[in-house]
Amino acid sequence: MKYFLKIHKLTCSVAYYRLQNSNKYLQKKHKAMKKNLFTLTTCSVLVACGGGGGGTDTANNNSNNSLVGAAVSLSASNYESAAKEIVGSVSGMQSTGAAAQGLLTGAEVTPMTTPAMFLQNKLPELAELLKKQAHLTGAVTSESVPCDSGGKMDVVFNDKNGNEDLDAGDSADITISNCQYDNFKMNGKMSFTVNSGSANSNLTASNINLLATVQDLKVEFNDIVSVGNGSFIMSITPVNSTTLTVDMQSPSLTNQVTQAGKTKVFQYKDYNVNATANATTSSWSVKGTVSVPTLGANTAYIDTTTRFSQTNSQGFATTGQLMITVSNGGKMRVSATGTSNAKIELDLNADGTYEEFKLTPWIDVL
Amino acid sequence: MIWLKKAFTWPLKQGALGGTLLFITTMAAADCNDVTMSSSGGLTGSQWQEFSASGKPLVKETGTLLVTRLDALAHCGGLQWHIHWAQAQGQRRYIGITNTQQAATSSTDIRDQSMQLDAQMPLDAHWSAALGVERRNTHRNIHSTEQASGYPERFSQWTGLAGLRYQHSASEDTTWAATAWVGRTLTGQVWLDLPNAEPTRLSLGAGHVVETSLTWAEKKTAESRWTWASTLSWRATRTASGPASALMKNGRWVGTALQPQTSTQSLGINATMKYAF
Repeated sequence: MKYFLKIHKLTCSVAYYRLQNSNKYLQKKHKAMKKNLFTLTTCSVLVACGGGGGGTDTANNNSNNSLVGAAVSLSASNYESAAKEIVGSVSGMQSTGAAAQGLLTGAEVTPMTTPAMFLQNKLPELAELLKKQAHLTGAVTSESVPCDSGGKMDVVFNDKNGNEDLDAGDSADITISNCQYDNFKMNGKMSFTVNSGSANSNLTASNINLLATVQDLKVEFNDIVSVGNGSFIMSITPVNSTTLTVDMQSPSLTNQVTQAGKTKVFQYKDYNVNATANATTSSWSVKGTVSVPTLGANTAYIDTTTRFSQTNSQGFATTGQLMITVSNGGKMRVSATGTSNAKIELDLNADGTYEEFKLTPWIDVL
Repeated sequence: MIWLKKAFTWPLKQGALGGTLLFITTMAAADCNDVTMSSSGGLTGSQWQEFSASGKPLVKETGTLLVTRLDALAHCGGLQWHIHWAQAQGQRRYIGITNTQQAATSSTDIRDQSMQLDAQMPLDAHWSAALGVERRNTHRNIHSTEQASGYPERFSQWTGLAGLRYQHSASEDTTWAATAWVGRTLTGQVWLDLPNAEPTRLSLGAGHVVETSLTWAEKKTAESRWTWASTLSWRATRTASGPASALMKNGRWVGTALQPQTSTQSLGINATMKYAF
């Protein structure tokens, strides 16, 4: 259980890294495997919501009330910052952003784990372990798991058909109470349900549809407080033996990040990401409504007019175009240029003529 | 302690000359004698290793660095006061892994600057004991590869040192001296400028230092104020991993970072010219 706990304590930042160690432990354990699998998956997926959250936001479901400050109009002086925030928060939801970039070890850097990264990299291993080693004594199990530095997690797992496979109907509910590890402290609720399909060790032969929800998942770390709420459905569909499509849809996801007294709210509504990737290349498109902290309560509707594509090792798209329509007026267009720069254009009066543009390194945008 | 910190930090910022002049001025004002200044040059083989929390090797760097050093000594109040500034600069070959656990080969640019102040107290004709404090700044720039990005780091550490020195006449004209230091890092930080996050500062864990050297030196004579010396030195450090810090970008929490357990070794030789005032 120790590694299981360690994963949870860092849930929204280092779960991906810890999973590598956890696998060794899991190989020795024959109980609670399936429960762990669900919890691990849920935690990692939730990270995608920006340090801890996403979901059916009871508080934020139908308004911009949670957005910080009054609406700020788009202008020549703030459009680059606004575009960076929008594209950054979009890329943070998938495996094309900063989290995907390979870094040489100097410091040990653990990027936020995104749903796509987790599912593509870890779900097959976990499914294989589950198949080999799960030995549950009943379809529904529950356990209270203490955390290393205090607090606990209550986990209820339902293997609906009792077949010890990760398949339709299986679910897990996790309640986290003051769970602490090092400088991390977590509170909140998560749940996880397999809607259809199943996952196995060969993800390109898997076809699975998952629902994840988060309720007031609060992660405190040093001077940062991150609160997540919301839900999303994720589908993994193999295209062929080497290529996967990951589709993520969410009615509402919210992540509120407060650092040193300053709060930013990242909100996603009616949001859809569709990404296709193999070992060397990937492409993605996105649409939905997102918050723009630079613009206060103002929001933006984003739509991919040309699908983005990239070589994975480069870490940025070389083709693709994103249209951004700001709710109280103005448009922006973010285009890949075939270089390491993105082109950010401003159409202040939304008349189809772009008055200004800036070439900004992708590394500053993603 | 603030004045001491400033006295150390200023010369590191301004250069060795400032520190040396500050030292000499202070020694003169304190009515000291046997003031000696020396300048050294040499080479050091440098090794840098990092390990994960489970002890797994993450990075090994090796290379040869060019060393320059300035020393100033003076006897005051029965103690021998000594200040030195040193810089080791060059490249190391990097063999390590990426944060996605892929093997990687690269190189690093290194500029390691240190300033040490110590006081030696003679115990008898051969032995003396010493206490000192060292401030060390290490600039390390990891070069990017096709697969992964590198980035610059700047380490800063304060270390308290205790040492023993044994000196003996080797001949009519020369002496040799063996010196050993052990130390403990008082505080340490690393400034990190990752390509995909805002610059951040990480705390380093507790550290230990062991250093030994063997010096063969010409005795001072009445005929000349200039003498020479040659030193073979070895230094090893071990610094525990520090706590994780958050990485932010445009208000988003994009990850965490920590400095893993780090150990270094260096073996160097240098030649010195001394001038006695």
